[in-house]
Amino acid sequence: MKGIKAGDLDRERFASEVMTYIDHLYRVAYYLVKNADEAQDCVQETCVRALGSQSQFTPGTNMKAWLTRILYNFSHDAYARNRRMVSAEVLIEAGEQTKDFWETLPTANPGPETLVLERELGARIGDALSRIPEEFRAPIVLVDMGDLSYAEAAEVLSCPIGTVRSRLSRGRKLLEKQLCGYVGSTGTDR
Amino acid sequence: MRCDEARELITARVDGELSAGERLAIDDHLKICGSCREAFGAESRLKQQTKLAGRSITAPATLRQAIEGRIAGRRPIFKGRSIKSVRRWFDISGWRPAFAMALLFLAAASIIYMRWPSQNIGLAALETHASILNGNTVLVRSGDPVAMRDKLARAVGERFKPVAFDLSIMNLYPVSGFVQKVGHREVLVTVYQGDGPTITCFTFLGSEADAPEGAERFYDADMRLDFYSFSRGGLNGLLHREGGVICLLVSKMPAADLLAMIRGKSAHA
Repeated sequence: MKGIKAGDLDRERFASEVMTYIDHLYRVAYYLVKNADEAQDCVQETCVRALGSQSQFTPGTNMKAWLTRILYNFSHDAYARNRRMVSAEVLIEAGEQTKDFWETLPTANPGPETLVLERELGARIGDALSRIPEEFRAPIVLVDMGDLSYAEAAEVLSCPIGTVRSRLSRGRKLLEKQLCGYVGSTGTDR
Repeated sequence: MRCDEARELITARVDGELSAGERLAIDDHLKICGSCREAFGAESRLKQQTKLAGRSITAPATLRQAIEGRIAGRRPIFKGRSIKSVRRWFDISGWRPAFAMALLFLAAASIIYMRWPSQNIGLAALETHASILNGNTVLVRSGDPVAMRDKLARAVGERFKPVAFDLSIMNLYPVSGFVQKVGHREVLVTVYQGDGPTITCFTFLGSEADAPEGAERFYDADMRLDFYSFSRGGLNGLLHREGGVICLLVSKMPAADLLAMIRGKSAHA
């Protein structure tokens, strides 16, 4: 009986690593496509594409940026033309076994009020972002929401770093106008 | 430096993306230009809030389950979509091999996930209860159980509500509640305190598989329900499904007493 092949182990590790970026991918998709269901579709497709293109990924390089680029390209292709290719509907069903394999032990317990306020802020900013042209929205989503560097964002957007910087600058001005002082009024000391 | 030249440098300064020379130049300008200093402050605040807003968005548990299902191929994930649209998806050139590869790769990955250590919401609940007992989790007390329950439900977008118990006969009352994130799932936690041992009730969307490995399963004929009991470090957990949610009670109380409590709730319902 043969043991586990090195290639299988690589693939397992690769799949495991992809799974660690699900939150990041969903967050970016959520603000890019402006719709929770479509964001979920995008993330699923990104995972499938990534796993089918493992050979194109160089181990040791930046997987986060690589996945984000796949996600961005997919969301751009599929949703720029308002074309829905696929959607998933998964419900927790009675008796169905579900496991969250990535759960960690609890760290902090924000009270329900904090959670509600954060969600309200998220909703307002999401709404304001959705009114900004995509070319300015994308750098904000990638850099601010996705924590990508300018170089990584430039790689995702296939543009020079200087373009990221200028679009980010203009994009934030537009966002500030859309928020009409809401952010300033909330302060940072909540 | 003119203010219009400073604009993009301010953005890059906020993001920490400047070279040493550029940073010196913009810092010199900010020292002498009040309006640019103001713009720098405003942009910093905006970035901070935008980042915070982003952090509030996490992948729903259902998405993770969908991907895992897709990985393992154990679950139809296109329910609700027409077969035609599914076929169209599969017919797209290049997708079938990609999908097949994903299934192959990730079926193996799912085996690893199944063996992932300390990945259990039941055990996390025991730790939370212990943390409450030893004072490491500071409780924000509420005098209005109904309002607290409503707030908790709102915190999870009304997708579910905390299971409630009337334990006044035992002089135990819901004194505090919070939302706990375990992995990517949200758990509503209600703490009952009074004369007896503290009881913590965890309500979440999940399944019986959330009981830890080794949990004892038993069937209660009166309630026609499966229960799962487990113990660690002198704490007892009792898990069961209640409608569409999982209810997990944790206390120093014996599991039999916890079961009696649930029976009592059922009798009053």
